[in-house]
Amino acid sequence: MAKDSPNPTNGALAHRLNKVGRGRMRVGFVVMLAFLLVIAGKLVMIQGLDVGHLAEAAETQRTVVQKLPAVRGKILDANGKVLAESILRYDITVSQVNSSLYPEYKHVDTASQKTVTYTRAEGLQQLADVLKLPVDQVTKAATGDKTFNYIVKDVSPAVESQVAALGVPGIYSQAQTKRVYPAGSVGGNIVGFLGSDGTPLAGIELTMNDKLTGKDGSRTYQAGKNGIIIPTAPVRTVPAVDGQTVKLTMNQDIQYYAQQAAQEQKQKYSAQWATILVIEVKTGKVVAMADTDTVDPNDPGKTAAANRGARSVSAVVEPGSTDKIMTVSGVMDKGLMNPLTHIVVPPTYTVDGETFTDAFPHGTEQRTLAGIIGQSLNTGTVMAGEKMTPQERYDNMRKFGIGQLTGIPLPGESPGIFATPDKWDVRQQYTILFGQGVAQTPLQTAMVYQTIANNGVRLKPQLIDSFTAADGTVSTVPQAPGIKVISPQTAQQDRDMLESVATMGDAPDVKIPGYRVGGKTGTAEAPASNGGLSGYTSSFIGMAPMDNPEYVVAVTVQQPQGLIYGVTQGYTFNDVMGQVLRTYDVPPSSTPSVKLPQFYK
Amino acid sequence: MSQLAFRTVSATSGNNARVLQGGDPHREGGNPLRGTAPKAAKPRTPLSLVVSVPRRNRTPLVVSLFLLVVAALSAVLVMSVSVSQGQYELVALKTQQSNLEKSNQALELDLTARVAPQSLVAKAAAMGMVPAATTGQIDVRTKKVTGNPQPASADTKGLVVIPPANMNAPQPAAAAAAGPGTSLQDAAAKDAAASRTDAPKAVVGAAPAAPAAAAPDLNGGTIPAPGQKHS
Repeated sequence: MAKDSPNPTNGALAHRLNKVGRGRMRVGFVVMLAFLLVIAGKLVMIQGLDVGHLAEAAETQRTVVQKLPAVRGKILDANGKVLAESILRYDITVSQVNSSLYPEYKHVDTASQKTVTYTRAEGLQQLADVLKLPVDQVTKAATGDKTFNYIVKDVSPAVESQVAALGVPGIYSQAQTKRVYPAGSVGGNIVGFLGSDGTPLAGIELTMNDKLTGKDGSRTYQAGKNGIIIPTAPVRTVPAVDGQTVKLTMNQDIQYYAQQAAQEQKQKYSAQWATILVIEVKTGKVVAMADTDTVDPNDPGKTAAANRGARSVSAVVEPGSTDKIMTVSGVMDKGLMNPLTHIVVPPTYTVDGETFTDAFPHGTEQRTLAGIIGQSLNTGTVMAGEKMTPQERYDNMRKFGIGQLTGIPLPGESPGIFATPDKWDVRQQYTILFGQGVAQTPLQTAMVYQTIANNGVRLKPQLIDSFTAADGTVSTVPQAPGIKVISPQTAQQDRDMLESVATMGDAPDVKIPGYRVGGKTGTAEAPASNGGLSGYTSSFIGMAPMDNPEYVVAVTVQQPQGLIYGVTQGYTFNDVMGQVLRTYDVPPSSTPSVKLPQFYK
Repeated sequence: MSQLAFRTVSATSGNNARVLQGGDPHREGGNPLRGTAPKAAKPRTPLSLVVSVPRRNRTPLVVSLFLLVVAALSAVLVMSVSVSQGQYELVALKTQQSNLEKSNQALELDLTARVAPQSLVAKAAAMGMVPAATTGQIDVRTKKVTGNPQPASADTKGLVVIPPANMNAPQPAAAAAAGPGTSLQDAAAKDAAASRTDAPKAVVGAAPAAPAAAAPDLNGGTIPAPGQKHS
């Protein structure tokens, strides 16, 4: 500062004033610094240290997590036809409060691009026309002071887009998924159904629920207060994994035909119920499992509760004569007999104080073992079967799968009733030889014949062919290893005897022109619930073509009315087996039929 | 001048030139460097310290900073615009995709309903078709016809008709749906219980030999009732 500064004040006064000014400046400077420190400290605390977790709180407030629902997997038949699928549907809802806010509203007509003003009443009328409901019902639903009310549920997407195009204020749509079963009651007993809350209650829907249910995804994004998505904020999407598609071994067309045939039999004989099973011999795959009065999974409430399952696996019946083939298989496998063994059969046979008679009276006959099967003689069967000890008889039938679950993936499967030998009474040890005193499901009995058709190897019945994941990976269900029950030679001898039942025995109406067929009739006395016997279970199980069996068809009719001798399943078998052979283009038999002699001289 | 300069450089007044050594070069007597005068350093051009700070040119810096800021802002603006544009496109495409999916689903549903066996049978019957009563097989290699093929006759009746799927059935109420579920579970539980317990042995009298003609597989006797389900 030069001595000759322009400041007019000079000397000691100036010096004093300068000092004061400097002091004030210093004070102001210190105050400013203090404020600055406070602000900087607060800044460091909030931004740097984040003591109040404000950043986190703000992010939580902004973040929106949206659920991406997974679609439930489909159920297909063996040829890929859809049996069950989930489709998109809409509920049309109304906010009554919002609707009343707009007595008039503007709507831009997309065709003419003109703005038209409609009244609320007109808007509701348009809505009622689109929904095909009476306008009073729609108005009643849309009037009130609730913020949420349904106008109508379960509307197709096409109708929903029409409703959205109307632009009536206060009307919204909510997406829902609905499970539909396009085939209806065809295969309904196998496919099952869902309850009203979406939980599976029966069939494959229940047993394969884990595979059918997908995993929901989520989309996490950040939105402002007005709900607009902040585009620069991170968006994290976890895609939903849809449920797997289950492909069954069932053939929809054969299932339909078999259901028709079973229903026809039931009506013809006024029976309680009937089932028809079609099994592929070499793989154990279930081609058809038909029941009468099958449930339509779209509307399970309409069917009686007893008809909502699959009787082929849950109904337990005494099979009767169809079990005789197990007895002779056991005896022949031990080398004790062959189809042409001579047996003198008396009119009644008494053993251990128990007397057994046959369905028709006869004198003493000189029968071969084939003849005993051909005419379904109880006496001859007991005579042949008593060559096995009770334990051997038990083990033989257990090997054929009696008294055990087959493991088919359907709920409610029964293992049947087969007591151990120590619990048998003196009569039961013989009656099990001809299928009384033991109870089996129709599926178990069919698999006995599958074993015989498959050269003695019993397979697990397979209902599911493959699973297809959401990304397209197909995982085929491998065939479970088979159980060797009897030798191939014994099985061949069995098949010869079964063919002779049709060619020489008591089932002459079983024939399919061009093919060699064979099988066994069964008429069992059905036990009544109070301990006695009442009515019959009539069945026929056959296989074709006999030169190399490919399919087994088992027909079971419960409590047919009328003369039991007049009840025959032969024609039904012919129809269903013929349909199966034709569908799968099975080559006709080229070798002559086997006709084992039923008597000997 | 600056305070620092004021404190470090002492104030001068007058001429700052250094006093020359070796006398005044303008003195008379000829060359002062020769002779009696002592040997002196080469005389330097007189220098004078210029007391002023050079002026800096501020204008280009401000302008360049301003331009930089404008460029940055415009870059951000362009990015935002393109992102928003992309969002609009995304929304439009997503809407188109969902519309196509909906119409695809509707068509697929229509197709599966028509492919269902019941509708095929109904259509065939409406066209006057009848089921085949007999079938035959043709071996293409040997040209042999096996089986018993006969021409179809118009009066062949089909089997019982199964009703078609009722896909628009009203959804069951929660209470009613709980009913079928529980009754199914009840039935399954009953069935399991029955199969586990051994049925009591029922002693029946003499074997009913009289209705032999009507009862093919007689057993009579002490067959315990295995709790067969009459469902």
